[in-house]
Amino acid sequence: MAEQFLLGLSVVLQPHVLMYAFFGVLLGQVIGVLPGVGAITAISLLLPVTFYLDPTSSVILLAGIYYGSQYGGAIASILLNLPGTPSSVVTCLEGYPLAQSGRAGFALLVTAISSFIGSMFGVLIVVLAAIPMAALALKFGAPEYTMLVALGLVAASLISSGSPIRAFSMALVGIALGMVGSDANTGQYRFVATDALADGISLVSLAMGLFGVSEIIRNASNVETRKIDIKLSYKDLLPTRAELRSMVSPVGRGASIGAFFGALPGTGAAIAAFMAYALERRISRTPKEFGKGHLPGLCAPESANNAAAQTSFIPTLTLGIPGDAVMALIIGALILNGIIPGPRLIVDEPQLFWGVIASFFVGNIILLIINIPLIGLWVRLLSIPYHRLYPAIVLLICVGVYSHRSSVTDVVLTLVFGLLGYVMKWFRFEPAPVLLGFVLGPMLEENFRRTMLLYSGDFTVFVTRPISATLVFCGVALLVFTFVSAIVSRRKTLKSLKGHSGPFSV
Amino acid sequence: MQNTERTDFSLWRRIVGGPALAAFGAAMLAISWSYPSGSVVQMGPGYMPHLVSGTLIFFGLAILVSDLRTTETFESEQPQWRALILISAAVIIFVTLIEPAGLVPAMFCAVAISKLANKQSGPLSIVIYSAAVTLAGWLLFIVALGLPLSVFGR
Repeated sequence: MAEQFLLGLSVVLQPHVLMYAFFGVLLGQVIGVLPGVGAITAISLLLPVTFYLDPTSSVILLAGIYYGSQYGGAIASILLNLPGTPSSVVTCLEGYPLAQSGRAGFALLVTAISSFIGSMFGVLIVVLAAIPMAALALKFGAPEYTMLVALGLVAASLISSGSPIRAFSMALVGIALGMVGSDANTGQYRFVATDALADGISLVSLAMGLFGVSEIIRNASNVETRKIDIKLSYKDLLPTRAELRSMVSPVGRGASIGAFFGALPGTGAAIAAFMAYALERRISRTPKEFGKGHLPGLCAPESANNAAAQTSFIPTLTLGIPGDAVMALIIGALILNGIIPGPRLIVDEPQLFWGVIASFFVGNIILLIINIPLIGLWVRLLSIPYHRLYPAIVLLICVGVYSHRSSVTDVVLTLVFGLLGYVMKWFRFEPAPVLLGFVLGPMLEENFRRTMLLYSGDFTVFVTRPISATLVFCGVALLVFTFVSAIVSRRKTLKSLKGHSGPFSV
Repeated sequence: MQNTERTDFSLWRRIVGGPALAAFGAAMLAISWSYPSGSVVQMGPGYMPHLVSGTLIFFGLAILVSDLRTTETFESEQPQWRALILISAAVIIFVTLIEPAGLVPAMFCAVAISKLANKQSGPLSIVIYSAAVTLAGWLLFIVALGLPLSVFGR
């Protein structure tokens, strides 16, 4: 294991690869700070760029944006009470009061350290889990893959913030969009309206439309400028010994929760952060301190969301199955670069596999280094108004999509998906499952067809093979759990009629 | 983000969502009608499309029923018509200009029109801003990344 990790390090420490790792985490940090631009938008924007890079650098770059944004997200939460990323929503709860009481610098330092420790724990889990997971995955046949993909889609729908049936419908729409083009088995064209669609809908168009264009339409008319009324003071910057001691176990618990939920399909950094916060609150001896800048409530979720950001790469890299929309984009980038993601990746492309994992290690060190001393710069970034930013993003989207296949149709489709992504939210449909379905759909169809062919249409194969049966059991258990908890919570809130729809996807 | 306000889940929003989804499914079923579906063992190219479109129609109707029965209220945003129209116009103008006129005019027009989506921008600031972004775009795409695109004309 150490040997492979060193191989990875030797890949990352090549100057040009290191440059992309640095660029990725820097960009992640920046877009994490900027409210209104999410990791998923930034990754879609950079997808076309990756065609000019080797696959290893591509994934290192895109992955860096994702986990880098987890660090940056905390800054806006602490200083503005405005979460920069969905996973730093809970950071506001303790971080902002702490900043108001004059300890903003301290809060930023503490979150950076918690994030770093959480990430490193996540990386450690990735390194430890990679070989056993990939070995297990090699035992997977078509039935297991079918069930794994199905479980991923069901889990992502059930755990999403809105209604499960809506999320699942959106995943089906994504599967439908993924069918455009020629059928993998027979070669027949499906849903090909114009010749430009013969190769299928481009992932670049879909992602940039659903997440880039629609967010721009949503936010373009914002006029207010964000004012930071919190003075960044450097007094009391360093934590005292007692404070350090009170951080140790929350960070550890947060990291463990994050590492666990990150690796599961459907749950990601945001859910991990919520769970970690809830746990700290429940087991605390002083629950009244929460909401007033209580240190464990700040460290645990930050450590959790960063650990989750790292471990979410376990299913992506070892099984080739993305757990959420961001991972779907990473898988997409691999496919677009001609690499087939899956359990063979670790054997066929050890340089890529371990290079990417080692880049997490290096990237987090870079993030810790750029986070603390450059804090003044990040704060200044916060005051950039959105209307200075979005026309440039429109430009990046147009040129990025066009340059991918020199196709005007792709740009028009991006606009169509953008309008779709904007309008569907009026009807409480979330765009993230569409992207997941788009990437998972072809895998589902191919493996399902292969299973039925190999086992001559016998559906019992899904429950007679042990691994597949376990996956079916997990899916059913999740379904039952969701319905039971939905009924229980409906009974509880029947009188109060309090509606809730999550404002964040991803 | 900032544009959200609390309104209830208005009637037309309840009525349109589910049927729109069902209509998508129906259109998909209509197009894929002629694709051979084969048997379970030897699935044809039509098997999965038929399955998915059927499920979509069913879910669309189920969502309609549950939306009509719900008494919950939801956070919903004001439609941003100005931004919607101008951002769309910016992309369309980019598409129409990129091949006949080249990258630089297409970039300039797209940026200028999308800048109009925000009411704060005056004409002079739009020109200066668009010129600056176009220059940055030229440096990024042509000079730094070396994309094979024509800068001016064909």
